Amino acid sequence: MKRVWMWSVSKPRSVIVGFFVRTFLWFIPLLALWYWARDYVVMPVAWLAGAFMRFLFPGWVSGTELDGILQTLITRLAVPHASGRMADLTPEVSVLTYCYGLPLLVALFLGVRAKGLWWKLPVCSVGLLPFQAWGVCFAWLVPIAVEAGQFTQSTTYFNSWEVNLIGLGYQVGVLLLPTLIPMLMWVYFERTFVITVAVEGVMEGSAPMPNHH
Amino acid sequence: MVRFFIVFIVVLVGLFAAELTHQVQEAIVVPWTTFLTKMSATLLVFFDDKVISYGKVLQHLDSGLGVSVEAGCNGIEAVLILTAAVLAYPASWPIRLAGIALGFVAIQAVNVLRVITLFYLVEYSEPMFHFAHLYLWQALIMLDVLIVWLLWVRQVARHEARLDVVRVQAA
Repeated sequence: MKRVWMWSVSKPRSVIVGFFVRTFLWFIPLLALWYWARDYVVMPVAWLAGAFMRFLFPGWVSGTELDGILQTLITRLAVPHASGRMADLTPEVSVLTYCYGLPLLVALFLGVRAKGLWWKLPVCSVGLLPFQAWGVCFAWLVPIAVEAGQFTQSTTYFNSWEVNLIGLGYQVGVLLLPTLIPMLMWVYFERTFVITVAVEGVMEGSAPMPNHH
Repeated sequence: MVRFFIVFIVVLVGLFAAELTHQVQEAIVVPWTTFLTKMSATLLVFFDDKVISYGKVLQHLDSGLGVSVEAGCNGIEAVLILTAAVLAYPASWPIRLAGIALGFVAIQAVNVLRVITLFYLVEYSEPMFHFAHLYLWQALIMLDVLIVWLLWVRQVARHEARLDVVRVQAA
């Protein structure tokens, strides 16, 4: 009599399932905590973004002002105001928009029960800062170089190629970097987990084929 | 590992720059975003017949409130990241293409869920909508990408091991 082979022994649960569940369960409270502390979370990013802009464009950047999660770039670029007068261009950016990778990274580390969190978390938190500042800087540059380009070009000297590059840099900064960099950091520091996943696949593939009696 | 990162970055930058070109936007991104919006509306109509879509806008007829699916919300960047990660990992081309195709479906399925939840959140609470839109779903979609990639890596290893077993048995 032909009998269909059934899974008589329950299949061991993949390490990926446990990782996903733990990461998800950690991420929600971590994101809430991060949002609660948002005024402090943005401070180092805002400082670095301001420092970058002052260093790169000393000719027309006066400084920055941080109000909660909103950071304003103070420039000496004159643009026409609705009142008919000329006014200094002061683009404002929500710094928090570029910072949400931190709770994700922490959740990923906790999801894989990473060893050495005491040094990985500070190193990665600092490592994220330039990429988060990238997003903030390019978000300032878009209104300056693209939206008000006809008024600011005589001071900034951005040519059309540089304006396109600023557009690309902004898109990369807002769409890719906030989550991509934490993921790459995690893959690098937790590559043993990726190897474990591959080994799990090899074990499954090497297991005897189910018999059909 | 170094090779993986280099190939990943090069492929991703190339795909992302191509995605931003006018031609790709017109030929792929805008039609896909419109289709995604229409698909979300089609699913929602099962539960709520007051939902309509036009272009990339999903709107509720009663409240007039709605969402516009923009760049970053259509799941294309997430698919590009998965594609770059799949191409950077050593595997045969058929299994790579299968990974990209199935990954596309998996990511877009979660993305439809994102669009639908955001659509209802905008009616319920604007602050909650902004929180979910700007932070929560952005990270969850990327977590989805990572899980899909890990499942694919396991499948690649499983497939290679199975082939080895078959070769040994044939020898």
